[in-house]
Amino acid sequence: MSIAKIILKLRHFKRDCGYVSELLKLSFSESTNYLNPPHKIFPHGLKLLFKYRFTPYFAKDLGILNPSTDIKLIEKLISRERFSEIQLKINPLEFTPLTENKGLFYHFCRLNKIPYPEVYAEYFKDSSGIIKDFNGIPKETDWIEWFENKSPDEIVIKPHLGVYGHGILPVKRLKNKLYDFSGKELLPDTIIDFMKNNKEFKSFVIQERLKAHKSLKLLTENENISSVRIVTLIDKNDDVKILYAAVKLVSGKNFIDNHERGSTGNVIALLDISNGEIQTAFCAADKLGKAGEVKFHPISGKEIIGVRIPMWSDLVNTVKFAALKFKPLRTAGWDAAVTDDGIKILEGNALFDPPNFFSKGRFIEKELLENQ
Amino acid sequence: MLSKIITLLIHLRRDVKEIPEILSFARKTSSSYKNSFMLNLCRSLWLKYKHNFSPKEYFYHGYLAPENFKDKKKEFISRKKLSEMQLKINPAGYKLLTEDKSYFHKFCKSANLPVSDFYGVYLRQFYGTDGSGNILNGEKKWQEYLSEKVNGGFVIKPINGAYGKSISAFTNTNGVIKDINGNTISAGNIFDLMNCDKKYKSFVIEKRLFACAKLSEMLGSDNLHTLRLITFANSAENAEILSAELKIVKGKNFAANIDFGSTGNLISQVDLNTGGLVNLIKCNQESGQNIFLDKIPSAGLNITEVFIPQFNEAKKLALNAAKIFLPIRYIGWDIAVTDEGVFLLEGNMYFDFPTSEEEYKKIRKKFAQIINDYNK
Repeated sequence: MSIAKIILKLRHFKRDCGYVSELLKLSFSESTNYLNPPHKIFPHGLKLLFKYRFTPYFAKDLGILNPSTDIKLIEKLISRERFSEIQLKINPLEFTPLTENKGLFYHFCRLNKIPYPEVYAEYFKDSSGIIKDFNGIPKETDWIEWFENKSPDEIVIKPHLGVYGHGILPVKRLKNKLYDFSGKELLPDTIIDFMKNNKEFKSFVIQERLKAHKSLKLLTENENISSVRIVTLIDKNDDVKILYAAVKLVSGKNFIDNHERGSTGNVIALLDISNGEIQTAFCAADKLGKAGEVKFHPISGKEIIGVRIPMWSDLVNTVKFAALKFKPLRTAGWDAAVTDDGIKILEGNALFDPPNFFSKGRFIEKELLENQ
Repeated sequence: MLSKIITLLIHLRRDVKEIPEILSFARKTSSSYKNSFMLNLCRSLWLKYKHNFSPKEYFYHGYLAPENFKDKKKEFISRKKLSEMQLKINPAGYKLLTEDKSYFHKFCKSANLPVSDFYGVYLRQFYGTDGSGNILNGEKKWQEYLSEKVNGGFVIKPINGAYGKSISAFTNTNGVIKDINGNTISAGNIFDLMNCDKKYKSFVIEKRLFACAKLSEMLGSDNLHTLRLITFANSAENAEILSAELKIVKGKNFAANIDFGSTGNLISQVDLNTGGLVNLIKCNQESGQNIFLDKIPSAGLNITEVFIPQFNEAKKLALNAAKIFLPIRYIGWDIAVTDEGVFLLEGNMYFDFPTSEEEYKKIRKKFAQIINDYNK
């Protein structure tokens, strides 16, 4: 056996060991919630892992780690691993960093005139950074000066390789002082420390803070962005098809709209792709991991079902325009913001999560397989 | 622990591959310099593990020569150390923009920077696409495409290749494809060439460019002599050119790469103001020493008479590209000067420092100064 094969086998073994150890921990921690002993959760988790290829945390988030889950429900869902394999039959692996790295993504959007939130600066832990309109390589003192006096009043710091809203720091200036969005005061040094000593991420993009369109602000009573996720597929005739659309409505004082199986309190709602109308919506999950269907926004109390996303045709056209520019990637999940100033593309994801929430994973799987 | 074992195995694999080269170079130098094989072997290992030089680097730079061993290595840095320095200025997350030719092409096209016509990308583990990003799924589709849609001269390059490795050129005239030596070759053979390459799995296919007539006449070959410009971008409004070199193709060579002198190609420093050649160098493959020439061997022209046509256009193009490719600040651009204008062939964020000693020291000093300022 060659050294390369040994290395590959060791890597797989290491990955599997990690999953088994995660599963062991979850078997104990979720035992009370699931009303099942660890020795029942663990083998069920192993079956999910090795037969259906659901990783332990993904299974937990889907609410199927509970051994009492109906097997029919499990078979309706699709694991991230299986879904990625299908995506990589449509999207060449070599081109996936074009969407997964936000720096490359925004750079490419700029060159192709795809609307995106303006980028003010990029910070790299191990390399020189860049501040717009600054001549030369900014040193630490220049970064401090910029955050203190020159940065726009509201900015968002995002890791280049972040997912699920992790590692995001929104900052605003009020009366010459900097605060995060929970109201905690920040010194420029603290912001730099956050990036410099971040254990999870090595580089960050510092960009414009966007605010929600007035009608979404009214609906959620929150001015932060409720982003729309649209999944596109470029078919064999070069037409862009929309396979799925959903909106993540922010709730309470949340800055980020991620749903995370309801743990954030945000709402996720399925949209009618023909007109952008909300069809069904889910909010917080119960202890067993089952999300609850809602008809009214949990904070504003306003009815959600039937509400139309503003500027829907503009949104669809912008996403379709972007999708064609990103060829040879042929399928992607786009996160877009609807603002009073128009549509902005926040993210593209060539390896987007399967939308299992509305049982759309299998439908998209079928479409992708037919078009590979 | 498991991660450490994996890392160790990766290093072991790399080192095992280099053993034959290390032994061969130690043997070669012991006969040239009349000293012991063991001494050269020890020196080789010291240069490799202490100073991170690859066997090719220390051998072709002549570091095993007794007179060079003590001093010369202080002046030069290994490719590995150079890459580490470059990564302090050029963010690693952006390397695809320059090191992957399909990304490079895509970004240049989006930015309206002149690049040669793009005919497609072949991805072995997936499929490939034509120049517009439409899928070419399978061998048959590729054969049809190459024989029917790709007309005129075209070049196949590995998407992450360097030093001109695995590059081939062909001409398609009404469906009859010929290689660079004029032999007829089928589209299926070209597909096999990409599909069976042992080192590379992905290739770009682009239009073949030729040197402009004036330059061809002066240098004695119409193959592509490549202008290398090194730029540093301060901001999106301000960039500067630090160095210029011209890689001159010898005889029927297709690529202008030097490869430690093995290709016989020449390299010349270029005056940044006038575009005139300054120091014409031939690398001696045996000793690793540079040989300075006064005349272009194939054309007989004195180097003081050679001025690169469209040099100002080339400089303007490099400066423009440098600003667009920020946050990569330091880039070595390969530029083609043709009768149709100047074109970007490549951008390299891990570029080699110039061959001429004078330019090398200048760039190294500038590099060190920037890193030093940045670390203050």
